[in-house]
Amino acid sequence: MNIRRIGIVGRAALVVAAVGMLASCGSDDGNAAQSSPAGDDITVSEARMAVPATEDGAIYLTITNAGDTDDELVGALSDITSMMHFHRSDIAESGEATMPEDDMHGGGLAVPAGDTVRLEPGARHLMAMRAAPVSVGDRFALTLLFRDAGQVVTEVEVVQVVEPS
Amino acid sequence: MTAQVTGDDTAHQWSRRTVLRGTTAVGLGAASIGGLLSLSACGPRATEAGEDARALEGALLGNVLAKPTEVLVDTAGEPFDLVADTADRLSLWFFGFSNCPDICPVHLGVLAAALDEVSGPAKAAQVCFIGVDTRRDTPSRLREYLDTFDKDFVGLTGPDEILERAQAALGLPSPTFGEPDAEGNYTVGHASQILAFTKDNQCHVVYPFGTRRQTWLRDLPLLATMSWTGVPAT
Repeated sequence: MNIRRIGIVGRAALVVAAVGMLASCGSDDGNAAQSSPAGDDITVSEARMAVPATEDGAIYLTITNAGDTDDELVGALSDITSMMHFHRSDIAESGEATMPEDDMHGGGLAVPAGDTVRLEPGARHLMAMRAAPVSVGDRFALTLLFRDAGQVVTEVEVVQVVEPS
Repeated sequence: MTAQVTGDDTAHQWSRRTVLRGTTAVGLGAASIGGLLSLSACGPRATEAGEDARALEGALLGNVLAKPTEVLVDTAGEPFDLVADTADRLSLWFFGFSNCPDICPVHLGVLAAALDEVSGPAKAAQVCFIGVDTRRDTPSRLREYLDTFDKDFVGLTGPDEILERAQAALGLPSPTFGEPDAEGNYTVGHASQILAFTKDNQCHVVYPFGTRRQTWLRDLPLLATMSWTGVPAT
């Protein structure tokens, strides 16, 4: 499955598209938080964010696809930010940590059938850009948008420390 | 097997997996074992230090590092001598940047949590976070950033050329700066390992990104007290 590589313009478009989709779902059925039936195959767990030390806050979580078809995470939304990005950190053999430019804002994350995908420190993660202030113990809703499964809502817990995997 | 750990430039060839996942990654596991072997083969050494060193979970360096003779600036705007102001104590150094939202906060947060939990001499460990993104890592910004983790963490920065000399002297990769995006934000590539300088004022062991709290809880008390007697300096 290809990771879409989109530039700054495309990145903004992704967020706008996702916002538009959510808004229309909400106005249609009045329940934007409800997962689609196909979403039953996709479960999201262990969603957590450390109290950000910067204006951006990294969100880590685990996605499990119990179904028999591949899916793709294509968007994420939360009230704590109007700008949710996909980021990827990479650590070279030399110990150098970077955020590779080529796909740091890739628009899709493959979630293969029967697989578990972890968004974790030092690897792929979500970044709530300019996140609203949060405190340890806070919980906030995060809506993940999957290509086939549609919306899956999870709750992110704000913690003091996120342990690396 | 030890070919990978014989030169200066390979002293830092440690991925987080080397330490954290032991020998599950075959290639990296071999490097880890090679590092330990090369250290234990460095001529006569006190049994005590050798046993302590083997008990450490951090990544032992094939080549021991000395402190660079440079003076930086701390978050109060005062000069900070990397040799004199860190002398004769456990001093943990991390070169990062204060807009780092993933690597640095996780690494610093885990270390801060471990230091909260340890007791004894390890509690007095000094943590120096050196901001390499000199455009944004002002003393006040560094202070604000570090206070998220521990108000006692020392924040340091300085002119680019001094920071570059210091990193080069430690065999660390030079920082790299990405192209600014539409909002002027840019990414910074930086060394992700924390260097542990012990009371002998040398660094024998580093902690790659991914180091867990349990590793720090095991190693900090050892690092704070071990003498490294017999481990030759380079």
